[in-house]
Formats: sequence, structure tokens, C-alpha cells
Amino acid sequence: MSRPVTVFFAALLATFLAPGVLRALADDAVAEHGTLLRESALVAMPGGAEIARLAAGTTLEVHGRQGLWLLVTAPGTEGARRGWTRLTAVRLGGAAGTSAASAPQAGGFARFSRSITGLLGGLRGRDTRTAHATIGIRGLTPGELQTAHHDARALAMVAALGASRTDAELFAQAGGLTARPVPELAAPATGARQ
Amino acid sequence: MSTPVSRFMGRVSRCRAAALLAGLLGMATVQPATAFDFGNLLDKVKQGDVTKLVDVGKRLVDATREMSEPEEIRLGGDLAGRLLGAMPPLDDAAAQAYINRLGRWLTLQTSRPDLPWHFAIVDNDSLGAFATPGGYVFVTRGLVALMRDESELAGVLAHEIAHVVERHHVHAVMSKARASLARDVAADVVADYAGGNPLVTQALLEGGMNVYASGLDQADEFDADRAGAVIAARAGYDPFGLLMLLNTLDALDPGEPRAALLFATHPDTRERIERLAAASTPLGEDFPSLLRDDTRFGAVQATISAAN
Repeated sequence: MSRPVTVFFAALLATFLAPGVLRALADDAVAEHGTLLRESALVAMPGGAEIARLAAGTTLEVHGRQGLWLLVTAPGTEGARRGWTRLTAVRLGGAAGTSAASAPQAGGFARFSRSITGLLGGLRGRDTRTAHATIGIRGLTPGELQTAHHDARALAMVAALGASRTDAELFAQAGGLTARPVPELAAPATGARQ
Repeated sequence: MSTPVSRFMGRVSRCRAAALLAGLLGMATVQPATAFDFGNLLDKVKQGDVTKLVDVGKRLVDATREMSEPEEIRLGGDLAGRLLGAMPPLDDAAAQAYINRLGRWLTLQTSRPDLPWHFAIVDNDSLGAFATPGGYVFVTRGLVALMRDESELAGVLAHEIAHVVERHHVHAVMSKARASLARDVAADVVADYAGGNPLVTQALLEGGMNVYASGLDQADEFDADRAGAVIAARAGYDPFGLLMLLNTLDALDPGEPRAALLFATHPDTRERIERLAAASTPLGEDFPSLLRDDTRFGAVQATISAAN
């Protein structure tokens, strides 16, 4: 079998197998994998005391998120310590050395893996190491935008879409969303880093 | 709409344009036509045709005028029609109703809640989102499929809404159109667009599509990242939805074809993450993941993925 065909079937197989694998892990879910971009502290709780120092490049299992902190385990380190590290120090989306095949899979995989929720919510189960194939898929090009012709029918369809204030408020209510006052955010000084 | 602020800005613009005109007349002998047709102006001065000069001056002053809201909405519709020519709306009434309710809820947290907002998922595998002046917001099916939850969709829509609220595209499009019409000293882009001048209309639409193909000013993107996080938080969402989606994008192969346009038209993704996280520190842990039940997002994601 040629390589593209093999990749395609591997991706297809992974799509069907992965939900079961993730469900089996649900009690101690590994929602995603990540790699440390720089040497970082592992802390007992967000903003808490340092319990270990992790080197740049350390592979992490990510279990959940709270604000700008990730709950992680470093399986390859002594004691496979579990704790919190800053979100910005981690590149999500795959174990070290698998970058070429680690692009998060769209569509089917995200859909099948939705049943798993990270410990604190906000992280959906998704093993980004799954191979994915982009055979036949290409993106929009600048040229396509610059030469696009006005589509009056499509515009009329979209112009007919919309939602009233009441629709929007009912939508929020159904999702448990409540409006809250939040001040504007100031731009950080250039080069600022978490 | 004439508010005290816009009246003040109008005065500032007039002063600036008057100063500009005075400066031009002084410099014209050493610096021929750059932004405007100075030669033409000089001829008028030499002819002593003060009336014409005053008229040209008035046109110059008007050329710096801000586009009114009705004109902005019309321009947005014209640009939306072209964008939809490249990526048609997804034929899924339930998904389109969902994104309109979500989007409208976000707009209610902004200073422009009553624009004619229209949201649409477009049937394209690329990873992208687009806004046009006046309130059209599009997100590709490919990008929705990549998201973890509703807060990420809210984050992307809020970023686009911020571009509309701040009129980023209006300013960029006007700037491009004025540059391409620079030799025509009589061009008052706003008035001529309103009056249906085909040359100016063409310049605005071509300038507009050029903005979508080449991107906004990077500062506008960083601003929209921050403003979007605030809009999402005000709407009750986890404000880090966009940040999480940016992390997903950052993990993509840089050569990923579906992300090529997005990467080419936006600042470096890792820099966006670092800046947004640094700016978001005040939101910090006061905002844990707030939306627990988003089965509705899952349902929409499932149907649009199935349409693939």
C-alpha cells in the first residue's frame, strides 16, 4: 500500500478506536499532551510553592486547566510528579518528537472525543498525537479572496440570519451564562512574558 | 451620528487638513505630487483662482472624514458579498441559528450592540474567521471543527466583534482606497462612495479584499485579542477560550495548508499567546472554566463535521 493510503487508513482507524481508549482513561484523564517550551516550575497549586523544576523539552500529560494554569504530569521524570505549570510555558498538541504527526485533528476526532472532560473543565479529551491526513485539503489563498465575485444570493441568505436581544438572552440563560462587569485590559509592555 | 466626540474629532480633522494644505503649498515647489496632486494646486494658486482653491481645500478636508455608520454598514455588506463568493455559508439552519444567538449575546456586551449583526459558519475547510464593517462575522467550518468547547468559539467571535466595534477594517480599507486614489485631489472617498461613484466604489472594494488577503495592522490584531477576551468574559465565558485555540493553532505544522492564510495575515501565534496571557493576568484565576454544560456546541460541531 502506498504511504498516503496507509496514513489515511491509520487516521480512519484511530478515529474509531480513540474514543474507547479515552473513555478507559476517564478516571484519570489525560486530556492532551504538551511539551515544555522553557525550564519551568511545577507547583503544588496555581500560584503555590514549587515542588519540582522541569527542563525545557519535558513531555507532559495535561489533565486540566484553571485560568492560566495547567494541571500536568511529567511521566518521563523522576517520580512522575504531578502539579501545576503555567499555560504559556507549554506547547499543547503532542509529545516531543512527534511534531510532524501531531497537528490536532479537526472534525471527526474532536467530535468523538467530546465525551471526556478535563478535570476542571475547559479541556476536552483529545489525543493530539493521532496522525491526521490533509490529503486533498488546501486552504484559502489570497488570490481567491482578491478575485472573488459578489455572491448576492449567499449575501441575502446571511443577511436574513440574526438573533434578537431576547433570543440572545435566552441562549445565555440556557447555557448558564451571566453578564458580568470586567474592566478593559491594558496592553502589556512589549516583550512581556508570563 | 454626530456626538460631541465625533464633532470634536471632526474639528481636529479639519485643523489637521488645513495645516496639511498650508504645509503642502509651502513645500510644493520642492516635492512634487506624492499624496495629492500638488501641481494642480499650484496651477490654481498661480491662476489666482481662490474659489477653486477653497473648493479643493474643502475636498481635502472632507477626504479625512470618518465614514458614517450607514455607509460603514453598506461597505460591510459589499465586502461580505465578495467574501461569500469565495466561501459560501454552510447550509445548516440549526448551526447558523446557534452561532447567531451566541454572537448576538457577545455583541450585547459591547458599545455597539445595535449594529445589524449577522453571523455565519462558512463552508470551507480553511482555518479562519472574518469580519466586515457594520457587523458581518464569518467563521470557517474547519476552524469550528478544531475547537474544544463553546468558549473557544466565543473567543474567536469576540475577537472579530472587537474588530467591528473598533472599526479596524473601515480604517484599513479607507487607507488603502485613499492611497490608490491619491493622485485625484478631488477624491472624497466617503462622499463619492455614498454617491455611487464607480471608481471610488471599486477602489474601496478592491482595497477591502486586499485587506482580507494581506491582513490588518498587527497592532489591531493584538488589540482585538485583548478586547475579545474582555467581551467573552463580560458575556460570562471563560475568557481564555481564544488563548486555548491559539495554543491549538501554535501546535500545527507551520506549513499546514488550511492555516496558510491565517498565519500569513496575523502576527506570530506564539507572540499572540504570550501577549494575551500577559495582558490577561488580571482576569487570572477569578475566571475558572465557567461554562460546564455545552452539549449544544458538541451537537453543532458534530453536524458540521458530518457535512464534511
